[in-house]
Formats: sequence, C-alpha cells, structure tokens
Amino acid sequence: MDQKELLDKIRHSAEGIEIPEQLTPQSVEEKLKRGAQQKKIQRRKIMIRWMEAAAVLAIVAAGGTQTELYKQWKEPALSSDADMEKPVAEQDTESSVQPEEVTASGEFKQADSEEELYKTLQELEKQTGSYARGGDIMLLEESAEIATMDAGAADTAANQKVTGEADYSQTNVREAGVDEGDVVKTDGSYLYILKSSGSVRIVDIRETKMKEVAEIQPEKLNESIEDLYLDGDRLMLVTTGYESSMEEAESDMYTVNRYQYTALTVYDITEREHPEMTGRITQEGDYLQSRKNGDYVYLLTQYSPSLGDSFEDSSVMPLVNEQKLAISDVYLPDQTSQPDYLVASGINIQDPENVISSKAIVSGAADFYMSSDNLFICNNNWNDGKSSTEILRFACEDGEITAGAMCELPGFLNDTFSLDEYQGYLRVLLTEDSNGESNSLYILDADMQVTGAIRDLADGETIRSARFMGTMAYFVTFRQTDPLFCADLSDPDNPQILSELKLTGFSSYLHPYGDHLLLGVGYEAEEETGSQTGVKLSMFDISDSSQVEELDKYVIKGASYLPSDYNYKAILADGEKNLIGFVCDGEYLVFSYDEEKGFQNLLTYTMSDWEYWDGDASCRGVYAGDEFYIVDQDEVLCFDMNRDFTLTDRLSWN
Amino acid sequence: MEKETALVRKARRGDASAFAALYQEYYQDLYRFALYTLKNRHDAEDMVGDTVADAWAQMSSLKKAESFKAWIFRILSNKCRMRLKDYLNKTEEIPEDLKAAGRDVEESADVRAAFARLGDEERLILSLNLFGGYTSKEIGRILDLNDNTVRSRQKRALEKMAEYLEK
Repeated sequence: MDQKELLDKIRHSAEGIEIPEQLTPQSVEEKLKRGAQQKKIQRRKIMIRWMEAAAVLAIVAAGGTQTELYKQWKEPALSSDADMEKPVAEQDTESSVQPEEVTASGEFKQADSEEELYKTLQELEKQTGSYARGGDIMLLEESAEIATMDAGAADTAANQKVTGEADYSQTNVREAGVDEGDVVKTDGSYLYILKSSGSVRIVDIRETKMKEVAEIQPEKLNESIEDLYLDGDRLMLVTTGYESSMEEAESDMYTVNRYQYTALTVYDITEREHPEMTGRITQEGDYLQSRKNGDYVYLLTQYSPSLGDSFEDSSVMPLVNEQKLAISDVYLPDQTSQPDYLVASGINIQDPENVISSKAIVSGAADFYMSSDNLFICNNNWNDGKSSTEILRFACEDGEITAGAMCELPGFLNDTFSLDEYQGYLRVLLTEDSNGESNSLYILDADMQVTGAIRDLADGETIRSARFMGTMAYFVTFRQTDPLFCADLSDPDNPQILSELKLTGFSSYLHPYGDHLLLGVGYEAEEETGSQTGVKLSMFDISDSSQVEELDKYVIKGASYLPSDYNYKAILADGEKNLIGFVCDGEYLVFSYDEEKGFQNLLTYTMSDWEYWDGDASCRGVYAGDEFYIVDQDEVLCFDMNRDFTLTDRLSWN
Repeated sequence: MEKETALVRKARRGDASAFAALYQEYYQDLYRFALYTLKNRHDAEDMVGDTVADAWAQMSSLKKAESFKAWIFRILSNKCRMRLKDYLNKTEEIPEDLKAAGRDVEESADVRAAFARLGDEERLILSLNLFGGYTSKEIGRILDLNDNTVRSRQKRALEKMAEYLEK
C-alpha cells in the first residue's frame, strides 16, 4: 500500500463519522446569537445563578479555561433562559427611560460609601435603558471648580522628534512630547516589533543583515499584547487578559467571576538578548488607551461594574494591582449616560508596582486627548436629534491624576486632533448637527469656561481634519470641495478666521512639515459632485496665514483606501528627514517633497499579501540613519535610502 | 475567496450568521481533526466547542481574510496539543472511542483502529495534513520541527499503519 493510498483510506475512514449535534453550524449560530444578546453582561464580572446542582457540576467539570460564552451555551441548564435567572442589570436595560436634563456643565460628584455608589449606579442603569434623553442643551451656565489648572506650555510643535539629534523615526503621536504605544518602535539600533502571532521580537539592525535577538511572550498565556513603549533600556508592554473563576456562594448557587484586566509590564532590556521583567501592574477593565510622558505612563481602561440586586451581590469598585480603589477616587459626573467607568492610573516606569494614583470616572468615554499637563476625556451624547460632547479635564502631573473641570458643548468631534491645549487654553473644533451641519471653534479656559468662539462655519459641511500649531489652527471641512481654514487663536477671547482656501477633494490628515509647510493626506474628488476619484497628497504653504497656498499635489488615481484614516500612527511624516510614508490600497508608498519638483515618489512597495485585515493598518514604515524599514505583518524589509531605496535585506517569520 | 472575505468582514463586526457560514465549510474537518488527534469523542467535541467560542471572541485578531481556515485550525490544534499534554498527567483511563466513532463499513473502523495505535505526535502530524490541509512546512512550524523531520515522521507513521492493517 503506498502512502497516498493509505492517506486516502484514512480520509475515507473519517467520512462516516457523525458530527455531534452541538457542533453543527445551525446550533453554533443560534448559540452565538443568544450569546451576543448577553454581550454586555459577559464583559462584566458576572453572577449567574441557577437552581440545578447537576448543571453546576457539569460546568465545574468543563474546567475554568473556557470562555463564558461557551459555558453559557454548552450546558442545557444555562442555555435555557427559563432556567437561568437573569442578572438584574440585564432585566433593567429593558425598562423605561427616565428623561434627564442635559446641562452644559456639571460637577464631579463623589459618593460617600460604596453602598451609595452602588445605589447611584443602579439608578443610572435603570434610567439609561436606551440612549434617548430629553432636555435642551444649555450652554455653559456654570462650571465646576475643583482644581486650578497648571497651564504648562503644551507645545504642539511642528517636529515630533523629541530626542534631539537621534536619526531615527518616532511613533507619529498626537502631542509632541507625549508618547503613545504602537506596534513597532525603534531606537536606531534595534526594531521592536509586535508580531501578529502575539509576541514581541527584538531585531538588531546595526548591521546590514538584520538579526532577531530576542522574543518576548506575554507574562500569562491568556494575555495578548496591545501596545509597546520604549524608553532607553526599558521596554514596556501593554497587555490585556482575563481570568475566570467560579465559587460556591450557597449550596445551590455559584458565582462566576470573570476578571478582565489590562497590564503594563516593564522589561529591562539593557541586554537586548535577555529582556528581564522588572515590574508589572494590572488594572481592571478593557484597554482603552495609554500615554507616556517622561517616566510616567497613564493607563486608561473601561470597567463595567457588576450590579446585582443587592449591594452584597455587586461589585462596584475597580481593582488596580488587585486593590480596590478608594471611594474618594471615584467620580460621578452628574450627567453621565451609562454606568461604565473610565479607570486611569499614573505609573512611574521605574517603580511600576507602586501606582502613583488611580481615578475612576463614571463615564462612557469615547475620545481622549492628552496634552503634557492634562487628560481630556470626551463623551459623545445624542439628545433630541442633536449631538453634544462632554469634555472632562483631569490634570496629570508626574503620575498624579487630579480631577479638574468639565463642560458640555454642542456638536461632535471629528477625532483627537479636534482638541488641543496651548498655554492653558483648550481649543475645540466641533461639527454641530442640530439644524443641518455647521462647524464651530471654541476656546476654553482652565475652568472649562468658554472664553471665545466662532460658530456657523461652513454650513452643510463637516470637519474632516484639523491641526493646531501654536496660536494657529488649520482645519478642513468638506462637502464637495475642501476649504482649508486658517484661524488665529492668539487672543483666546476673540479667535479669528484669517483665510479659507478652497480646493477639490479634502485632506483627512494634516501634518506640519518643516518651516511654513503643512502636509495634507486625503482624497481627490470631483468638483461638481464631490465623489472621490483618488488619494491625494497636498503641500500647503502656510507662511502667509492670510493667504494659504497649495504648492503641489500628487494624486493617485483610482486609489481609495488609506488605513491611516483610522490610525494616525500608520503615517510617517517627518519634515526634517523629508520623508512621507503610508499605506494606500495595499501598497506602502514613500515620498519626499522638493520645493522645485514637488512630491517625489521614492518607493512603491506592494505588500506581499494585501488582503491583510488589520495588516495594512499595523504596517509601519520607520527609518534609522540611511535605512528605511517596512515592518509588515510577518516580515521586515530593509531599503537603502542612499541607493534609491534598493531592497538590501529581508527578515521573514513565514 | 471574495465571498469568504465578505463573510469575515461581517463576522468581525459581530454577525453570527456570517460566522456560522464560515464555520459551515470546515466544521466537519475540525471535528474529525480533533477526534483523530485525541481519539475521544467527548473531548473532541469539547475542543471544537471551545475553539468556536474562542474564534468568535477573537474574530478581530484574524488578520487575513482567506486564512479563516488556517486560523481556526491553529486555535484548535493548540487546544488539542494542550489536551494531549493533559493526558500524560492523568492517571485515569481516557476512553478511546475513535474506532467506534462511525457507523460505517468495517474497513473504515479497522483503519481508525490502526490510526489510534499511532503515537500522539504521529496522529497530530497526519491529522494536520489530512483534515487541516497543512503542508509539512506548516506543520513543522506548528510543532517546532524541521519540515524534513515532519515528512520522515509522517512516512514512518504511515508505514506503521500499513503494518497494523496487514495483520
């Protein structure tokens, strides 16, 4: 019998095997759908009760490594709604809505005890079964004063390079000087790469031939790595994970605890070949974002309290390093819309175990912006057919997080570039949608009081991109053409629009590019219809703010997809090095800009397999000295910039 | 492929029907793979069930559209490998019901009985090839073996089987 014949026989022997009913696509689909309805509950530390001890035993036997979802659908006693007493929280989400007045500004309230917090949350849960709420938006009648703002000069500098003379690229961050985690980091000598398979690889790039020198796996099996930070000889990993456990509460009642957490693990990489863990902190909740300012990392997670039908059955305090937060660290803005918390901790990377401060804000945070001194948390609300945005300010200094003030403004934010703090003032660009679309610019002081505003800009258009540079603001609105607005904000009480440049298409990303230049990355569109015809690069001369000019444009006809629209970290734009790199329709493109010749296409690299999903969004271009690296999902390509971007080496994990 | 791409897109957004449609294509091979590797029906069902739950929960980590199959098999093969390790530490007997798993002709039952006599790694290699459609190079990557080693072990496993069947 030859091998092929035998293989066929084995394959044939499997054909008569019956597939268990539980595994058929039909029953899987049903169970997943049932699970999806309970998704909100599953994210929490949950409490499931049922009366059949037999089912409980079966669950225990099934082991603790399975996900909640599977447990819930696998066991008959659980999969039947009739047998399972629904958690109170879920029942209440279906109850009627209590209209709640939306006010423009509010105070941070605090509860006196966990019991009181529990009651407030339960009330909130009852009230917010759906998102609709009544009431008009009243503009900024009063503001809370809790802390005064330390108005540091948050310099949104044109140059994102913060390491002086170092000749290598940095992560494209929102705020100069405030680092952000990413999937690739470099220090010029090594690349630190988060691979799709979930480990971190350290690659030596000092020689022409690249060499992997170390691999770091998450500390625990059930963790996945989300972001990397690099600071000299320290490498930090932000990971997420969960732990499930079950305990007997009464003879016929078991509680299933699902503890979802985010961890920051610090490694000493003095010896790149032997990374050593030096410290770690865990914080309950889903990972939202993080920032790093000097030695301090701020970790933001979203925590959902578990609300049972009594205080004893509930868990309302998030854990940081397995310690409950103090009640005095929990804030309850009086107009919050959902009982989830934003948990923020300040951590010194030299001593991560001793968290400097942790705060929890009951808030459904959507957007974040961190300047060098403050964290701004933005919630988008929607009432009576119009959007409003609540902005909460927390001061962040050397890891210490202090509640500041809050306000609510009409309209919605385009992205984090729509907010910017400069010399103690917060500038905000919003698109209002109450009566058709229009746009506004607000300037707020440290108490979150409006000092000046421009409203009713570009009726019928929406903001597509923005960049604040010192006292100037540049922003793009679009319906059929792209007016690039330039505003002077040097007088916080009286902002002025200086010019408006109308162009075809629009920029979805703006980046300062050396002296007096502003790079726009976006789309070309037909002037008459506004329909998109390709991807466009624009270079603007902003030396004369009363007359901003487009110096050159480069259109990639027919191209339609810029993953960087969803993650600005996917863009490399460095005016000093004169390099622009980004992914477009599965190709990594590198450009430079020449005053005489305009945009120069230096490299077009077709990604090996551009059907990547997050692959194209997590692809990064970085440079170190004369080398340009494209870090693709499972490979690193090295190009020599002095030799017309000749491919000189390739390190592949496939 | 285009269709699967669209389904993956939908499933990533939480569409259970799209997930089920993707799963439909591979569920039989997933179960067969688990059964032939573990030799135990109950455990095979558990592992596939766990895999479905994990895959659903982690759809967002699926990077390539066309690799749904490879991806879900990777999740399952990791689970099966861990379960095989568990077996080594267990004192009680794990019922082997691979032979009796199907109501079919005697020859197939004999083939399964012979297959069941192979070692853990041999079964894993053959199952990965037969039901997962992995090449020896890919199997090598999963099992941390050189692909030549995979090929020689597969050959040896098949020779053993031929021997068992001739007796």
